[in-house]
Amino acid sequence: MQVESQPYKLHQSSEAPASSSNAPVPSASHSTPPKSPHAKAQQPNTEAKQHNPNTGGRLSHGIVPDIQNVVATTNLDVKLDLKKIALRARNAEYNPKRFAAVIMRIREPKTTALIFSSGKIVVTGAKSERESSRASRKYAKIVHKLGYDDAKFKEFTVQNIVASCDVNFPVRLEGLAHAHSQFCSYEPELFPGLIYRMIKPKIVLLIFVSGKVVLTGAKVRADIYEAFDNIYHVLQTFRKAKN
Amino acid sequence: MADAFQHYRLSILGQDLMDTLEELVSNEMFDPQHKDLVLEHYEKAITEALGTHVKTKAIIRGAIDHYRNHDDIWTFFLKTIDVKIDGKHVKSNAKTEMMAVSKR
Repeated sequence: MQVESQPYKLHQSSEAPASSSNAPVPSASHSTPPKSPHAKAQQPNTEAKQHNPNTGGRLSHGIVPDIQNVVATTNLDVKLDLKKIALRARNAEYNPKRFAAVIMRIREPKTTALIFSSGKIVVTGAKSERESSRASRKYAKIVHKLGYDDAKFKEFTVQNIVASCDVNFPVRLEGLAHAHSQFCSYEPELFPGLIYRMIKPKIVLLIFVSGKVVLTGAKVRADIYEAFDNIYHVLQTFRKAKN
Repeated sequence: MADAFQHYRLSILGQDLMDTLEELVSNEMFDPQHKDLVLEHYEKAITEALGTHVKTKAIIRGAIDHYRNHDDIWTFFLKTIDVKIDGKHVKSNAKTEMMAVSKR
């Protein structure tokens, strides 16, 4: 719908007013001393530099989004009798009238799996891709132990990564919604956060007045970091003055 | 309303009722066909009675080992259990199974 021929146009447009007014950006870069000692050395001239996510622009703000949830799918490639699984496995829920999958939980890594009769499983709740893979293998092993000797572990795919972080300053959401209207949906009467649909990388961000940001829709972690990098520089220009 | 779950037959009341019915049937004082009718009636009555007349509240605490939920019947497998009911306090480290049925 709103396909941009130049996806990075938004940064150039947002960087420009910042460097011309030169009020918000320099103060921001001083008030957030880089947590990493390399940051200063790599980017001695933060204000003047055009933002480029590939040169480690993340280091200028030192904020790394925390991964909160990883959703992944796996195919065990074997037809399953869900009733049998529900009655034999531990921590299993099965109400075929309500939902056509067994819901199973394990404590380590603390995750929940949806197990379908087709042999496909969805694992949610992991805090990293590695944890998600480890959990998926555990569920496969549980199914295997329940008498499905030919259960395989195929097509493990991360489907979604959700992350969150805090930019540590309040944001003028109205201003942002107005300036980036083609990406934004902001209806404070419906939801207090601004929904920002970034095109490249294709990530959806929820931005709150408090400066808290939720990023979702990523298939790879790098997209989360790139999207946050992009939005951080935008948010700086819509920093709300302290009262 | 509540489908007649048969788990109340395992209570002391249910066990005694079943024993009595069995005795009546074996003494040919009671038509065996009516036995099930009586038990079904008992299930409805006890479900209703426990739901409407019993005001006592129990507090059950326990460390859960694992659980199962099949067709809205929950089974909790507890490692320890701690029951407070009517001012009485019962604690046990024995493995306990607790069954519960979802309302509706």
